[in-house]
Amino acid sequence: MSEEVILETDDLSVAYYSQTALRRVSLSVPAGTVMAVIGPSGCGKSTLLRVMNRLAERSPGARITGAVYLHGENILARDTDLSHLRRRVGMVFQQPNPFPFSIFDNVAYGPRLLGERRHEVLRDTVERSLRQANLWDEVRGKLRRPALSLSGGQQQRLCLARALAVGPEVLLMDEPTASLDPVSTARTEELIEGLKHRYTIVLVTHNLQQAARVSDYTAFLDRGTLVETGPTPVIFTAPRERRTEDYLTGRLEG
Amino acid sequence: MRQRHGVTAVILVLAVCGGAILLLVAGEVVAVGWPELGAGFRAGPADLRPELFNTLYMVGAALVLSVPPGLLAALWRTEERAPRILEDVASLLSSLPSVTIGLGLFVLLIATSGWPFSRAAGIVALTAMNLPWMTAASIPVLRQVGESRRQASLALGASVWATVVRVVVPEALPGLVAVAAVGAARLVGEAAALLFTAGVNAPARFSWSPWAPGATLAIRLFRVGTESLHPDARAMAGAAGIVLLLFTLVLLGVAGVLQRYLRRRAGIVDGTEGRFGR
Ligand SMILES: Nc1ncnc2c1ncn2[C@@H]1O[C@H](COP(=O)(O)OP(=O)(O)O)[C@@H](O)[C@H]1O
Ligand SMILES: [Mg+2]
Repeated sequence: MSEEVILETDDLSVAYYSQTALRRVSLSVPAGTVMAVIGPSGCGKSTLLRVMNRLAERSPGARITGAVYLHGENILARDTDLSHLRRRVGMVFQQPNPFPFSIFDNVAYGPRLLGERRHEVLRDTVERSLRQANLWDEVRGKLRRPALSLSGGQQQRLCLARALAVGPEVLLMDEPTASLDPVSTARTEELIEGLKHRYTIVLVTHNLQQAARVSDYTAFLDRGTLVETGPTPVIFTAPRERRTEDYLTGRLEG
Repeated sequence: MRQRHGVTAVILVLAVCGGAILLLVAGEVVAVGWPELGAGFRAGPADLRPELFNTLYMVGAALVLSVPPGLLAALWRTEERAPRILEDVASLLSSLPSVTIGLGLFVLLIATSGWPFSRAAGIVALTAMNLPWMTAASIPVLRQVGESRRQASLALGASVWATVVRVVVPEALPGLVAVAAVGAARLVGEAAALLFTAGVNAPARFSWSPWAPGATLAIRLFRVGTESLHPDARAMAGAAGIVLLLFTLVLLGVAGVLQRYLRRRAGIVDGTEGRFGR
Protein backbone atom coordinates (compact mmCIF):
# COMPACT_ATOMS: atom_id res chain seq x y z
CA MET A 1 0.00 0.00 0.00
CA SER A 2 1.66 3.18 -1.06
CA GLU A 3 -1.08 5.76 -1.03
CA GLU A 4 -1.02 9.47 -1.31
CA VAL A 5 -0.73 11.19 2.06
CA ILE A 6 -3.82 13.26 2.76
CA LEU A 7 -3.13 14.46 6.29
CA GLU A 8 0.22 15.02 7.90
CA THR A 9 1.48 16.58 11.09
CA ASP A 10 4.97 18.00 11.12
CA ASP A 11 6.82 18.63 14.35
CA LEU A 12 3.49 19.31 16.05
CA SER A 13 3.60 20.34 19.70
CA VAL A 14 0.67 21.33 21.89
CA ALA A 15 0.67 22.61 25.44
CA TYR A 16 -2.12 23.69 27.73
CA TYR A 17 -0.57 26.50 29.75
CA SER A 18 2.68 24.95 30.94
CA GLN A 19 1.56 21.34 30.53
CA THR A 20 2.75 19.64 27.37
CA ALA A 21 0.13 17.46 25.67
CA LEU A 22 1.95 16.67 22.41
CA ARG A 23 5.69 16.83 21.79
CA ARG A 24 7.01 17.16 18.24
CA VAL A 25 4.64 14.69 16.61
CA SER A 26 5.21 13.97 12.93
CA LEU A 27 2.62 11.60 11.53
CA SER A 28 1.36 10.86 8.02
CA VAL A 29 -2.10 9.52 7.25
CA PRO A 30 -2.49 7.89 3.81
CA ALA A 31 -5.69 8.71 1.95
CA GLY A 32 -8.51 6.16 2.07
CA THR A 33 -7.20 4.28 5.08
CA VAL A 34 -8.04 3.92 8.74
CA MET A 35 -5.34 5.17 11.06
CA ALA A 36 -5.78 4.02 14.64
CA VAL A 37 -4.27 6.18 17.37
CA ILE A 38 -3.64 4.22 20.54
CA GLY A 39 -1.98 4.95 23.84
CA PRO A 40 -2.64 5.25 27.56
CA SER A 41 -5.19 7.84 28.64
CA GLY A 42 -3.82 11.34 28.87
CA CYS A 43 -1.17 10.63 26.23
CA GLY A 44 -2.61 13.26 23.88
CA LYS A 45 -4.83 11.26 21.51
CA SER A 46 -7.80 13.61 21.72
CA THR A 47 -5.54 16.62 21.48
CA LEU A 48 -4.05 15.26 18.27
CA LEU A 49 -7.52 14.87 16.73
CA ARG A 50 -8.65 18.26 17.94
CA VAL A 51 -5.70 19.94 16.29
CA MET A 52 -6.65 18.36 13.00
CA ASN A 53 -9.93 20.30 12.88
CA ARG A 54 -8.63 23.18 14.97
CA LEU A 55 -10.93 22.70 17.92
CA ALA A 56 -7.95 22.41 20.27
CA GLU A 57 -7.31 26.14 20.20
CA ARG A 58 -10.65 26.69 21.95
CA SER A 59 -9.23 25.23 25.15
CA PRO A 60 -7.99 27.92 27.49
CA GLY A 61 -4.20 28.25 27.48
CA ALA A 62 -3.67 26.06 24.39
CA ARG A 63 -0.44 26.78 22.50
CA ILE A 64 0.16 24.99 19.23
CA THR A 65 3.39 24.93 17.23
CA GLY A 66 4.47 23.02 14.13
CA ALA A 67 2.28 22.32 11.14
CA VAL A 68 -0.63 20.17 10.05
CA TYR A 69 -0.96 19.64 6.31
CA LEU A 70 -4.18 18.70 4.56
CA HIS A 71 -3.38 17.94 0.92
CA GLY A 72 -0.10 19.75 1.47
CA GLU A 73 -1.67 22.92 2.80
CA ASN A 74 -0.89 24.03 6.34
CA ILE A 75 -4.23 24.27 8.12
CA LEU A 76 -2.65 25.93 11.15
CA ALA A 77 -2.03 29.01 9.01
CA ARG A 78 -3.67 32.12 10.37
CA ASP A 79 -5.82 32.69 7.29
CA THR A 80 -7.36 29.20 7.22
CA ASP A 81 -11.13 29.32 6.70
CA LEU A 82 -12.21 27.29 9.73
CA SER A 83 -15.71 26.57 8.44
CA HIS A 84 -14.31 25.25 5.18
CA LEU A 85 -11.68 23.16 7.00
CA ARG A 86 -14.21 21.64 9.38
CA ARG A 87 -16.48 20.66 6.52
CA ARG A 88 -13.57 18.79 4.96
CA VAL A 89 -12.48 17.25 8.26
CA GLY A 90 -15.50 15.95 10.17
CA MET A 91 -15.57 14.71 13.75
CA VAL A 92 -17.43 12.19 15.87
CA PHE A 93 -16.96 12.71 19.59
CA GLN A 94 -16.49 10.29 22.44
CA GLN A 95 -19.88 11.05 23.96
CA PRO A 96 -22.76 11.16 21.48
CA ASN A 97 -23.72 14.83 21.29
CA PRO A 98 -26.85 15.22 19.19
CA PHE A 99 -28.59 18.58 19.29
CA PRO A 100 -31.90 18.69 21.15
CA PHE A 101 -33.68 18.85 17.79
CA SER A 102 -35.44 16.23 15.69
CA ILE A 103 -33.48 13.45 13.99
CA PHE A 104 -34.02 15.17 10.64
CA ASP A 105 -32.86 18.58 11.87
CA ASN A 106 -29.72 17.05 13.36
CA VAL A 107 -28.62 15.57 10.04
CA ALA A 108 -29.77 18.61 8.05
CA TYR A 109 -27.81 20.96 10.32
CA GLY A 110 -24.66 21.07 8.18
CA PRO A 111 -26.38 21.37 4.77
CA ARG A 112 -28.61 24.13 6.14
CA LEU A 113 -25.55 26.02 7.36
CA LEU A 114 -24.41 25.97 3.76
CA GLY A 115 -27.67 27.63 2.79
CA GLU A 116 -29.56 24.60 1.51
CA ARG A 117 -33.29 25.26 1.96
CA ARG A 118 -34.94 22.99 -0.64
CA HIS A 119 -36.77 20.29 1.24
CA GLU A 120 -36.29 17.56 -1.39
CA VAL A 121 -32.55 18.11 -1.44
CA LEU A 122 -32.35 18.08 2.36
CA ARG A 123 -34.48 14.96 2.52
CA ASP A 124 -32.23 13.15 0.05
CA THR A 125 -29.10 14.17 1.92
CA VAL A 126 -30.62 13.11 5.24
CA GLU A 127 -31.66 9.73 3.87
CA ARG A 128 -28.32 9.08 2.19
CA SER A 129 -26.37 10.05 5.31
CA LEU A 130 -28.54 7.95 7.60
CA ARG A 131 -28.13 4.98 5.25
CA GLN A 132 -24.37 5.43 5.25
CA ALA A 133 -24.44 5.48 9.03
CA ASN A 134 -26.56 2.30 9.12
CA LEU A 135 -29.34 4.08 10.96
CA TRP A 136 -31.92 4.51 8.22
CA ASP A 137 -33.80 1.28 8.78
CA GLU A 138 -34.30 2.10 12.44
CA VAL A 139 -35.49 5.67 12.05
CA ARG A 140 -37.33 5.84 8.70
CA GLY A 141 -40.75 7.32 9.25
CA LYS A 142 -39.64 8.71 12.62
CA LEU A 143 -37.45 11.56 11.44
CA ARG A 144 -39.50 14.11 13.40
CA ARG A 145 -38.79 12.37 16.73
CA PRO A 146 -36.38 14.12 19.08
CA ALA A 147 -32.85 12.88 18.57
CA LEU A 148 -32.50 12.53 22.32
CA SER A 149 -35.15 9.82 22.30
CA LEU A 150 -32.71 7.46 20.54
CA SER A 151 -30.53 4.96 22.36
CA GLY A 152 -26.85 5.77 22.97
CA GLY A 153 -25.68 3.62 20.06
CA GLN A 154 -28.27 5.14 17.74
CA GLN A 155 -27.31 8.63 18.88
CA GLN A 156 -23.70 7.92 18.01
CA ARG A 157 -24.64 6.74 14.52
CA LEU A 158 -26.83 9.83 14.18
CA CYS A 159 -23.79 11.97 15.00
CA LEU A 160 -21.88 10.07 12.33
CA ALA A 161 -24.67 10.69 9.80
CA ARG A 162 -24.66 14.35 10.76
CA ALA A 163 -20.94 14.53 10.07
CA LEU A 164 -21.27 12.67 6.75
CA ALA A 165 -24.04 15.00 5.57
CA VAL A 166 -21.54 17.80 4.95
CA GLY A 167 -19.41 15.59 2.72
CA PRO A 168 -16.09 15.45 4.55
CA GLU A 169 -12.88 13.91 3.17
CA VAL A 170 -11.50 12.98 6.56
CA LEU A 171 -13.39 11.68 9.59
CA LEU A 172 -11.92 12.10 13.04
CA MET A 173 -13.41 9.66 15.53
CA ASP A 174 -12.53 10.08 19.20
CA GLU A 175 -13.22 6.79 20.99
CA PRO A 176 -16.58 6.57 19.24
CA THR A 177 -17.48 3.31 20.94
CA ALA A 178 -16.23 4.11 24.44
CA SER A 179 -19.73 4.81 25.71
CA LEU A 180 -21.47 2.03 23.76
CA ASP A 181 -22.48 -1.54 24.57
CA PRO A 182 -20.75 -4.47 22.78
CA VAL A 183 -23.48 -4.85 20.15
CA SER A 184 -23.42 -1.17 19.22
CA THR A 185 -19.63 -1.31 19.27
CA ALA A 186 -19.60 -4.17 16.78
CA ARG A 187 -22.01 -2.34 14.49
CA THR A 188 -19.91 0.80 14.63
CA GLU A 189 -16.78 -1.15 13.74
CA GLU A 190 -18.50 -2.70 10.72
CA LEU A 191 -19.56 0.76 9.75
CA ILE A 192 -16.00 2.08 9.89
CA GLU A 193 -14.83 -0.71 7.61
CA GLY A 194 -17.56 0.19 5.13
CA LEU A 195 -16.68 3.87 5.20
CA LYS A 196 -12.96 3.68 4.69
CA HIS A 197 -13.12 3.36 0.93
CA ARG A 198 -14.71 6.75 0.65
CA TYR A 199 -13.19 8.54 3.60
CA THR A 200 -9.92 8.72 5.41
CA ILE A 201 -10.51 7.90 9.05
CA VAL A 202 -8.42 8.74 12.08
CA LEU A 203 -9.74 6.60 14.90
CA VAL A 204 -8.71 7.16 18.48
CA THR A 205 -9.32 4.13 20.61
CA HIS A 206 -7.97 2.57 23.72
CA ASN A 207 -9.47 -0.72 22.70
CA LEU A 208 -6.49 -2.53 21.18
CA GLN A 209 -8.57 -5.26 19.59
CA GLN A 210 -10.62 -2.61 17.90
CA ALA A 211 -7.48 -0.99 16.50
CA ALA A 212 -6.27 -4.38 15.28
CA ARG A 213 -9.63 -5.23 13.71
CA VAL A 214 -10.45 -2.09 11.80
CA SER A 215 -7.30 -0.11 11.10
CA ASP A 216 -4.73 -0.22 8.31
CA TYR A 217 -2.15 1.81 10.17
CA THR A 218 -1.57 2.36 13.86
CA ALA A 219 0.16 5.15 15.71
CA PHE A 220 1.21 4.64 19.30
CA LEU A 221 1.43 7.73 21.49
CA ASP A 222 2.89 7.82 24.96
CA ARG A 223 3.05 10.90 27.18
CA GLY A 224 2.68 13.21 24.22
CA THR A 225 5.30 11.65 21.97
CA LEU A 226 4.72 9.51 18.92
CA VAL A 227 6.57 6.34 19.83
CA GLU A 228 5.93 4.33 16.72
CA THR A 229 3.74 4.21 13.66
CA GLY A 230 3.34 1.76 10.80
CA PRO A 231 1.03 -0.78 9.20
CA THR A 232 -1.22 -2.26 11.87
CA PRO A 233 -0.10 -5.90 11.43
CA VAL A 234 3.51 -4.84 11.85
CA ILE A 235 2.84 -2.74 14.95
CA PHE A 236 0.86 -5.52 16.57
CA THR A 237 3.14 -8.43 15.71
CA ALA A 238 6.61 -6.97 15.38
CA PRO A 239 6.87 -3.54 17.00
CA ARG A 240 10.29 -1.91 16.82
CA GLU A 241 10.03 -0.08 20.10
CA ARG A 242 10.15 -1.60 23.52
CA ARG A 243 7.52 0.82 24.85
CA THR A 244 5.07 -0.25 22.13
CA GLU A 245 5.57 -3.88 22.95
CA ASP A 246 5.11 -3.22 26.64
CA TYR A 247 1.90 -1.34 26.01
CA LEU A 248 0.50 -3.97 23.66
CA THR A 249 1.21 -6.69 26.17
CA GLY A 250 -0.33 -4.69 28.98
CA ARG A 251 2.89 -3.96 30.77
CA LEU A 252 2.59 -0.17 30.68
CA GLU A 253 0.60 1.44 33.42
CA GLY A 254 -2.23 3.62 32.13
CA MET B 1 -25.54 13.87 57.95
CA ARG B 2 -27.23 15.08 61.12
CA GLN B 3 -25.77 18.51 60.59
CA ARG B 4 -27.14 18.58 57.05
CA HIS B 5 -30.60 17.79 58.47
CA GLY B 6 -30.17 20.66 60.93
CA VAL B 7 -29.33 23.08 58.13
CA THR B 8 -32.25 21.86 56.06
CA ALA B 9 -34.60 22.36 59.02
CA VAL B 10 -33.38 25.92 59.59
CA ILE B 11 -33.79 26.78 55.90
CA LEU B 12 -37.26 25.25 55.92
CA VAL B 13 -38.32 27.26 58.98
CA LEU B 14 -36.95 30.46 57.45
CA ALA B 15 -38.70 29.73 54.15
CA VAL B 16 -42.01 29.11 55.93
CA CYS B 17 -41.59 32.33 57.95
CA GLY B 18 -40.70 34.27 54.82
CA GLY B 19 -43.66 32.83 52.95
CA ALA B 20 -45.99 33.62 55.86
CA ILE B 21 -44.79 37.23 56.07
CA LEU B 22 -45.23 37.64 52.31
CA LEU B 23 -48.74 36.24 52.48
CA LEU B 24 -49.58 38.51 55.42
CA VAL B 25 -48.34 41.59 53.58
CA ALA B 26 -50.14 40.58 50.39
CA GLY B 27 -53.30 39.84 52.36
CA GLU B 28 -53.10 43.20 54.12
CA VAL B 29 -52.66 45.00 50.78
CA VAL B 30 -55.63 43.17 49.28
CA ALA B 31 -57.81 43.81 52.34
CA VAL B 32 -56.97 47.52 52.42
CA GLY B 33 -57.15 48.13 48.68
CA TRP B 34 -60.16 46.01 47.75
CA PRO B 35 -62.84 48.69 48.39
CA GLU B 36 -61.06 51.18 46.11
CA LEU B 37 -60.13 48.72 43.37
CA GLY B 38 -63.22 49.50 41.29
CA ALA B 39 -62.62 53.24 41.57
CA GLY B 40 -59.13 52.62 40.22
CA PHE B 41 -60.61 51.91 36.81
CA ARG B 42 -63.03 54.87 36.68
CA ALA B 43 -62.25 58.53 36.09
CA GLY B 44 -61.63 60.41 39.32
CA PRO B 45 -58.97 60.95 41.95
CA ALA B 46 -58.58 57.19 42.53
CA ASP B 47 -58.06 56.39 38.81
CA LEU B 48 -55.08 54.05 38.40
CA ARG B 49 -55.14 53.75 34.65
CA PRO B 50 -52.62 56.51 33.87
CA GLU B 51 -50.10 54.86 36.19
CA LEU B 52 -50.87 51.42 34.79
CA PHE B 53 -50.30 52.72 31.27
CA ASN B 54 -47.08 54.46 32.33
CA THR B 55 -45.84 51.22 33.85
CA LEU B 56 -46.51 49.27 30.65
CA TYR B 57 -45.07 52.01 28.45
CA MET B 58 -41.87 52.56 30.39
CA VAL B 59 -41.14 48.94 31.35
CA GLY B 60 -41.87 47.85 27.78
CA ALA B 61 -39.58 50.45 26.29
CA ALA B 62 -36.84 49.74 28.83
CA LEU B 63 -37.01 46.00 28.06
CA VAL B 64 -36.76 46.63 24.32
CA LEU B 65 -33.73 48.83 24.95
CA SER B 66 -31.97 46.63 27.51
CA VAL B 67 -32.70 42.96 26.76
CA PRO B 68 -30.99 42.66 23.34
CA PRO B 69 -27.81 44.54 24.28
CA GLY B 70 -27.64 42.80 27.67
CA LEU B 71 -27.91 39.41 25.98
CA LEU B 72 -25.31 40.40 23.39
CA ALA B 73 -22.92 41.50 26.12
CA ALA B 74 -23.43 38.18 27.91
CA LEU B 75 -22.85 36.26 24.66
CA TRP B 76 -19.75 38.31 23.99
CA ARG B 77 -18.40 37.17 27.34
CA THR B 78 -19.35 33.48 27.11
CA GLU B 79 -18.90 32.80 23.39
CA GLU B 80 -16.11 35.17 22.41
CA ARG B 81 -14.30 35.15 25.74
CA ALA B 82 -14.60 38.88 26.31
CA PRO B 83 -12.52 40.03 29.31
CA ARG B 84 -13.78 39.06 32.74
CA ILE B 85 -14.08 42.71 33.73
CA LEU B 86 -17.29 42.91 31.67
CA GLU B 87 -18.90 40.32 33.92
CA ASP B 88 -17.58 41.93 37.10
CA VAL B 89 -18.80 45.39 36.16
CA ALA B 90 -22.22 44.03 35.19
CA SER B 91 -22.64 42.23 38.53
CA LEU B 92 -21.42 45.27 40.41
CA LEU B 93 -23.83 47.60 38.63
CA SER B 94 -26.75 45.21 38.98
CA SER B 95 -26.24 45.07 42.73
CA LEU B 96 -25.96 48.84 43.09
CA PRO B 97 -28.90 50.34 45.05
CA SER B 98 -31.27 51.65 42.39
CA VAL B 99 -31.61 54.99 44.17
CA THR B 100 -28.04 55.81 43.14
CA ILE B 101 -28.97 55.28 39.49
CA GLY B 102 -31.99 57.55 40.02
CA LEU B 103 -29.91 60.29 41.63
CA GLY B 104 -27.14 60.03 39.06
CA LEU B 105 -29.57 60.34 36.18
CA PHE B 106 -31.43 63.15 37.95
CA VAL B 107 -28.21 65.17 38.02
CA LEU B 108 -27.26 64.26 34.46
CA LEU B 109 -30.60 64.51 32.67
CA ILE B 110 -32.87 66.72 34.69
CA ALA B 111 -30.68 69.11 36.67
CA THR B 112 -27.99 69.48 33.97
CA SER B 113 -29.65 68.81 30.60
CA GLY B 114 -33.06 70.25 31.42
CA TRP B 115 -35.18 67.18 30.72
CA PRO B 116 -38.60 67.23 32.40
CA PHE B 117 -39.58 64.56 34.92
CA SER B 118 -40.88 62.25 32.25
CA ARG B 119 -41.39 58.80 30.84
CA ALA B 120 -38.25 59.30 28.76
CA ALA B 121 -36.10 59.95 31.83
CA GLY B 122 -37.77 57.00 33.57
CA ILE B 123 -37.04 54.75 30.60
CA VAL B 124 -33.37 55.73 30.75
CA ALA B 125 -33.31 54.88 34.46
CA LEU B 126 -35.04 51.51 33.98
CA THR B 127 -32.76 50.68 31.04
CA ALA B 128 -29.72 51.54 33.14
CA MET B 129 -31.03 49.19 35.84
CA ASN B 130 -31.91 46.31 33.58
CA LEU B 131 -28.91 46.29 31.26
CA PRO B 132 -26.41 45.10 33.87
CA TRP B 133 -28.96 42.70 35.34
CA MET B 134 -29.66 41.14 31.95
CA THR B 135 -25.93 40.80 31.28
CA ALA B 136 -24.95 39.44 34.67
CA ALA B 137 -27.87 37.04 35.01
CA SER B 138 -27.68 35.68 31.44
CA ILE B 139 -24.02 34.68 31.71
CA PRO B 140 -24.58 31.69 34.05
CA VAL B 141 -27.58 30.61 31.95
CA LEU B 142 -25.45 30.60 28.79
CA ARG B 143 -22.71 28.72 30.59
CA GLN B 144 -25.21 25.95 31.29
CA VAL B 145 -25.38 25.14 27.59
CA GLY B 146 -23.30 22.03 27.04
CA GLU B 147 -19.87 22.69 25.58
CA SER B 148 -20.28 19.40 23.72
CA ARG B 149 -23.14 20.83 21.61
CA ARG B 150 -21.13 23.96 20.86
CA GLN B 151 -18.26 21.78 19.68
CA ALA B 152 -20.61 19.59 17.62
CA SER B 153 -21.83 22.70 15.83
CA LEU B 154 -18.37 24.16 15.26
CA ALA B 155 -17.09 20.78 14.04
CA LEU B 156 -19.78 20.85 11.34
CA GLY B 157 -18.37 24.10 10.02
CA ALA B 158 -20.66 26.53 11.83
CA SER B 159 -19.23 29.90 12.77
CA VAL B 160 -19.39 31.04 16.39
CA TRP B 161 -22.26 33.33 15.44
CA ALA B 162 -24.23 30.56 13.69
CA THR B 163 -23.63 28.34 16.73
CA VAL B 164 -25.02 31.05 19.00
CA VAL B 165 -28.13 31.51 16.88
CA ARG B 166 -28.85 27.86 16.17
CA VAL B 167 -27.62 26.03 19.26
CA VAL B 168 -26.71 28.20 22.24
CA VAL B 169 -29.66 30.60 22.37
CA PRO B 170 -32.34 27.98 21.58
CA GLU B 171 -31.01 25.73 24.32
CA ALA B 172 -30.68 28.61 26.79
CA LEU B 173 -34.01 30.18 25.86
CA PRO B 174 -36.09 28.86 28.78
CA GLY B 175 -33.52 30.22 31.21
CA LEU B 176 -33.18 33.50 29.32
CA VAL B 177 -36.96 33.96 29.44
CA ALA B 178 -36.78 33.54 33.22
CA VAL B 179 -33.98 36.11 33.46
CA ALA B 180 -35.91 38.60 31.36
CA ALA B 181 -39.11 38.00 33.35
CA VAL B 182 -37.43 38.55 36.70
CA GLY B 183 -35.80 41.66 35.23
CA ALA B 184 -39.21 42.91 34.08
CA ALA B 185 -40.70 42.19 37.51
CA ARG B 186 -37.89 44.18 39.14
CA LEU B 187 -38.67 47.11 36.86
CA VAL B 188 -42.41 46.90 37.48
CA GLY B 189 -41.82 47.17 41.22
CA GLU B 190 -39.11 49.83 40.99
CA ALA B 191 -39.73 53.16 42.73
CA ALA B 192 -36.40 54.54 43.95
CA ALA B 193 -34.83 54.99 40.51
CA LEU B 194 -37.99 56.60 39.15
CA LEU B 195 -38.79 59.15 41.88
CA PHE B 196 -36.14 61.56 40.61
CA THR B 197 -36.46 60.77 36.91
CA ALA B 198 -40.00 59.82 35.90
CA GLY B 199 -41.44 61.98 38.66
CA VAL B 200 -44.47 61.50 40.86
CA ASN B 201 -47.21 62.68 38.49
CA ALA B 202 -49.13 60.90 35.79
CA PRO B 203 -50.49 62.74 32.75
CA ALA B 204 -53.97 64.18 33.31
CA ARG B 205 -54.98 63.32 29.76
CA PHE B 206 -54.01 60.26 27.74
CA SER B 207 -50.87 60.78 25.70
CA TRP B 208 -48.21 58.76 23.93
CA SER B 209 -45.57 61.43 24.43
CA PRO B 210 -42.29 60.30 26.01
CA TRP B 211 -42.10 63.73 27.63
CA ALA B 212 -45.33 63.23 29.58
CA PRO B 213 -44.90 62.74 33.35
CA GLY B 214 -44.05 59.15 34.16
CA ALA B 215 -45.35 58.06 37.57
CA THR B 216 -45.86 54.28 37.67
CA LEU B 217 -47.99 52.06 39.90
CA ALA B 218 -45.09 51.55 42.29
CA ILE B 219 -44.55 55.32 42.53
CA ARG B 220 -48.24 55.87 43.15
CA LEU B 221 -48.26 53.23 45.84
CA PHE B 222 -45.35 54.96 47.53
CA ARG B 223 -46.62 58.50 47.06
CA VAL B 224 -50.27 58.03 47.93
CA GLY B 225 -49.38 55.74 50.79
CA THR B 226 -47.00 58.20 52.41
CA GLU B 227 -47.93 61.78 51.48
CA SER B 228 -51.51 62.00 50.26
CA LEU B 229 -54.04 63.87 52.37
CA HIS B 230 -57.01 62.26 50.60
CA PRO B 231 -59.26 60.52 53.15
CA ASP B 232 -59.17 57.27 51.16
CA ALA B 233 -55.42 57.46 50.58
CA ARG B 234 -54.65 54.17 52.29
CA ALA B 235 -57.23 52.33 50.25
CA MET B 236 -56.04 54.00 47.05
CA ALA B 237 -52.50 52.89 47.77
CA GLY B 238 -53.83 49.42 48.49
CA ALA B 239 -55.61 49.33 45.14
CA ALA B 240 -52.38 50.27 43.37
CA GLY B 241 -50.71 47.52 45.37
CA ILE B 242 -53.26 44.93 44.24
CA VAL B 243 -52.83 45.86 40.59
CA LEU B 244 -49.05 45.79 41.01
CA LEU B 245 -49.19 42.36 42.63
CA LEU B 246 -51.48 40.98 39.94
CA PHE B 247 -49.34 42.50 37.23
CA THR B 248 -46.22 40.81 38.61
CA LEU B 249 -47.98 37.49 39.12
CA VAL B 250 -49.32 37.50 35.56
CA LEU B 251 -45.88 38.44 34.22
CA LEU B 252 -44.12 35.62 36.06
CA GLY B 253 -46.95 33.20 35.29
CA VAL B 254 -46.76 33.87 31.56
CA ALA B 255 -42.98 33.52 31.71
CA GLY B 256 -43.37 30.18 33.50
CA VAL B 257 -45.77 28.82 30.89
CA LEU B 258 -43.55 30.05 28.07
CA GLN B 259 -40.55 28.42 29.72
CA ARG B 260 -42.28 25.08 30.05
CA TYR B 261 -43.44 25.25 26.44
CA LEU B 262 -39.94 26.05 25.16
CA ARG B 263 -38.44 23.24 27.18
CA ARG B 264 -40.94 20.72 25.94
CA ARG B 265 -40.46 21.89 22.35
CA ALA B 266 -36.72 21.39 22.65
CA GLY B 267 -37.22 17.92 24.13
CA ILE B 268 -35.38 19.06 27.23
CA VAL B 269 -36.60 18.13 30.66
CA ASP B 270 -34.77 19.84 33.49
CA GLY B 271 -32.11 21.02 31.13
CA THR B 272 -30.36 17.73 30.42
CA GLU B 273 -32.02 14.47 29.47
CA GLY B 274 -34.18 13.58 26.53
CA ARG B 275 -37.90 13.30 26.89
CA PHE B 276 -37.77 9.54 26.56
CA GLY B 277 -34.45 9.06 28.33
CA ARG B 278 -31.71 6.98 26.83
N1 LIG C 1 -8.57 21.56 27.82
C1 LIG C 1 -7.47 21.15 28.49
N2 LIG C 1 -6.89 21.97 29.38
C2 LIG C 1 -5.79 21.57 30.06
N3 LIG C 1 -5.21 20.39 29.90
C3 LIG C 1 -5.74 19.53 29.02
C4 LIG C 1 -6.91 19.86 28.27
N4 LIG C 1 -7.21 18.82 27.46
C5 LIG C 1 -6.28 17.89 27.70
N5 LIG C 1 -5.39 18.30 28.63
C6 LIG C 1 -4.23 17.54 29.11
O1 LIG C 1 -3.44 17.19 28.00
C7 LIG C 1 -3.03 15.84 28.09
C8 LIG C 1 -3.55 15.08 26.91
O2 LIG C 1 -4.96 14.99 26.99
P1 LIG C 1 -5.83 14.27 25.89
O3 LIG C 1 -5.43 14.75 24.56
O4 LIG C 1 -7.26 14.44 26.28
O5 LIG C 1 -5.39 12.75 26.07
P2 LIG C 1 -6.16 11.39 25.71
O6 LIG C 1 -7.25 11.70 24.76
O7 LIG C 1 -5.09 10.53 25.13
O8 LIG C 1 -6.65 10.81 26.97
C9 LIG C 1 -3.54 15.32 29.42
O9 LIG C 1 -2.49 15.42 30.34
C10 LIG C 1 -4.65 16.24 29.76
O10 LIG C 1 -4.76 16.39 31.16
MG1 LIG D 1 -9.36 11.39 24.92
